[in-house]
Amino acid sequence: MENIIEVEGLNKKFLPDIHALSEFNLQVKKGITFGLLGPNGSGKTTLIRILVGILKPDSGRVAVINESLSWSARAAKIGYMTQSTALYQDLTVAENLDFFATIYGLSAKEKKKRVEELVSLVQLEGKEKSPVTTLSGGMRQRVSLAASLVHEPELVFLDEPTVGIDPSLRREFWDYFKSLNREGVSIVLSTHVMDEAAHCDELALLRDGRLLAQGKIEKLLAETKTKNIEDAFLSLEGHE
Amino acid sequence: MSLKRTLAIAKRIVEQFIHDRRTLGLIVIVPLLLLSILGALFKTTPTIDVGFVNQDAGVETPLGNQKLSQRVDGLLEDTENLKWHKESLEQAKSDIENGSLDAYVLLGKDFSQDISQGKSPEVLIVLEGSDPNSSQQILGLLNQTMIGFFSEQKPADIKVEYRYGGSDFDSLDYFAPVFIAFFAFFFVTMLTSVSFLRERSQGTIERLFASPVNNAEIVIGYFLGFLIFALIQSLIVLLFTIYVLDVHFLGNILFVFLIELILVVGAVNLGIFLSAFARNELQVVQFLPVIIVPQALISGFIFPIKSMPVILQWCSYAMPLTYANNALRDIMIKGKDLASVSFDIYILTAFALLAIFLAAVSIRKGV
Repeated sequence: MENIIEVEGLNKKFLPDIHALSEFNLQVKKGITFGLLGPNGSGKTTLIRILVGILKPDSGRVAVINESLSWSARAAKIGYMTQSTALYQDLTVAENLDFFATIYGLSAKEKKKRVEELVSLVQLEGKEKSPVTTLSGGMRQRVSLAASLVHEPELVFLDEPTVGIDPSLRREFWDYFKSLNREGVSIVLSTHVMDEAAHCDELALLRDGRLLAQGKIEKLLAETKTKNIEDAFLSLEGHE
Repeated sequence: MSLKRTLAIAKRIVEQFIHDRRTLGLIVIVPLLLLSILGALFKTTPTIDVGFVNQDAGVETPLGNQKLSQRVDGLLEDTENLKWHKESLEQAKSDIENGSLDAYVLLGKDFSQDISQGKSPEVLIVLEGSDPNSSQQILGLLNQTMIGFFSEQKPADIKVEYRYGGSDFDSLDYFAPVFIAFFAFFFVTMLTSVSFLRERSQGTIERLFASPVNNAEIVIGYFLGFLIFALIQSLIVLLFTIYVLDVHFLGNILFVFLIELILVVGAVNLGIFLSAFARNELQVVQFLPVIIVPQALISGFIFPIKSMPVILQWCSYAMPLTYANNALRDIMIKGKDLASVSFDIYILTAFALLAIFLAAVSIRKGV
């Protein structure tokens, strides 16, 4: 299967002397949900920010979607949901989605259809005209997800996407992510919740900016001779 | 560069403004309120109350005791801004104390004696004195009045011509043009910094940087969004000063807007640059005394640049508002065209380009 992301020997250091990522390697296959699992400060967000093109690595090779694409053409194929809700608080739900849809070049007709679809997906019908600032944390999270999917990207990066979302909606999100995968969309998400990781097709386990292991969950469990991801993580951490 | 994306950013700024009624009110009502206060202050001439204490003992002549001070006494006439009060020394002293007199003039007991002997008579002027500006103003007025009393010669027939302005021009005519520049610069710099700071702190800038939007589209989108409000503000300020405050306007309104446009390009980019060095909105406000207040003081806004110490003159020539003030005064008061203010336009353009450079190098700071 073709890789949508390839990372080799990636290094990123922050001042004064924080190694956010060290000699990091990663391959993500197209059309799957790939999880970046690790505690806070393990380098998940830094990795995502490098992959979406916001942050420049100090060294290493990073290939996302297609190396021959221009920066803007690649950006147009990527969706990014940041860890904070990253919405214009004083604008309404519809105005936020409309703005991001325009930024990604959707026509007026496409925008209208897409905004309706997404509002329905994140179950915010009737809240279209509400300013984001009046919504609960969970609702904002849902609008944030909708804003990152508004242009139907090929590759979606979701930084802790299900934080603050109730369990039933979380399940629907995971179902939706699977349906996106079936349409060929690749998803890379970060989480520090071990249970959530079980929904991913493949995982990368991170610790202190280094890759502990990468692969399908069954493979990781077999290699570590453990029964769940938490134990696998602890086992790999112990071998460090 | 995509026009569609640029306009989307401008439209978003406009939508945010429309939702934020308080800020919308601030940029329109505050300038009008300040101008109304200034209008009231400049258009009202204060009346100065002066006591007149006559202790002249007179001089003995073959015709009896003559008080030459009576001639002065007879000439005291109240004018629009000077009111005389004839009273005793004790009364005058007490009135100065309680604030009902601004000054008093005392003619001593030897007044007539001195004049008759060909000496200069002694006249004492006692000023309340706590406000140096008022004291100077009172002294000026009294000097004028007293010269009239003692001058034997017919005054010269002086004719006055105004190259610009006129006798009906007052201080407000001089201040109105600079207010247009100042308000636009102040509000656009402050609101862009806050707005951009929110982009940074709320993470939306990160979403924008991950999208196909480039730096130029962000900067131009911001500029267009804020320009609309700056121009609306200027138009309201201009109409208010011309039609309500009765300020003279001899220039072309399009020239005023062109100067404003160049100034706003600089202000938007300066705002973006400043936002990179603030962590919260309070810190943005802390920049204002550093960036805005010195410009208000030494850009020729209140005090003429020529009358400042040399070092402040240099500082003033490094400030964009100096050139905007100069150009707007030339256009509005002197009715000059763009060619006459081309030097100011070049400098303002250079400042705008510098601000664009600073914004471009700092826009991704902290992301």
